[in-house]
Amino acid sequence: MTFPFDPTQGLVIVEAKIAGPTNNVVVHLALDTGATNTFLDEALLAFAGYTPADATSQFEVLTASGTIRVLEVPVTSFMALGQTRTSFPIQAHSFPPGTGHDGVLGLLGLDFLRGHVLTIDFIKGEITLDPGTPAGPGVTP
Amino acid sequence: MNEVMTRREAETLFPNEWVLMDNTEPVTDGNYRGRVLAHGKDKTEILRQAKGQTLPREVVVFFTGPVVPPGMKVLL
Repeated sequence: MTFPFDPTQGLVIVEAKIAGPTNNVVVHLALDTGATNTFLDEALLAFAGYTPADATSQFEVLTASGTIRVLEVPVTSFMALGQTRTSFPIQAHSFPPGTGHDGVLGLLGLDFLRGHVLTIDFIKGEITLDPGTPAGPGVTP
Repeated sequence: MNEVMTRREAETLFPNEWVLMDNTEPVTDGNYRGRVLAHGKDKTEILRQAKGQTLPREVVVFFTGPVVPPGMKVLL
């Protein structure tokens, strides 16, 4: 399944949908292969109905400007690029204005992409995320 | 703000703002269509304010301006 994006923008923006206890919210995230995990603005998680009591873990995250501490919240359902994950762990973080995240509410990170084939066509402005085959090093197809 | 409008129309009416819109008529082209439930410059503020209202379950949040301001570089 192929999804369009604007290859002329500064970031690769993809649509995602988070299902929460009170609201299901469609948002735009920056595709970030430099992020190990998927991050959402904590205000968005709160809006969807999650509270700090829903967090199952707390982690330190290394950023370009230092180390921060985030709560990990497993969300009921998370959809992006035609894939749906249930009980998907989301890192809750505040993205203040002026930090380069002004137009996005989070980052789609590597944890969502692993085990799949990601194709980004900057000529056509198309992204495809296909289920992969287990053919990595040490794995017999 | 009960008027139904599209994302493109909201971009014209509310430039460089965050818009919270109901999403009961899902679209595939990104040009969402629904009632504007809240809008403003501060995404955190509009989400907090909207939280206290009776809202449809399906909503969409988007920014009406450029994701990266002109002339700005980004390091995520």
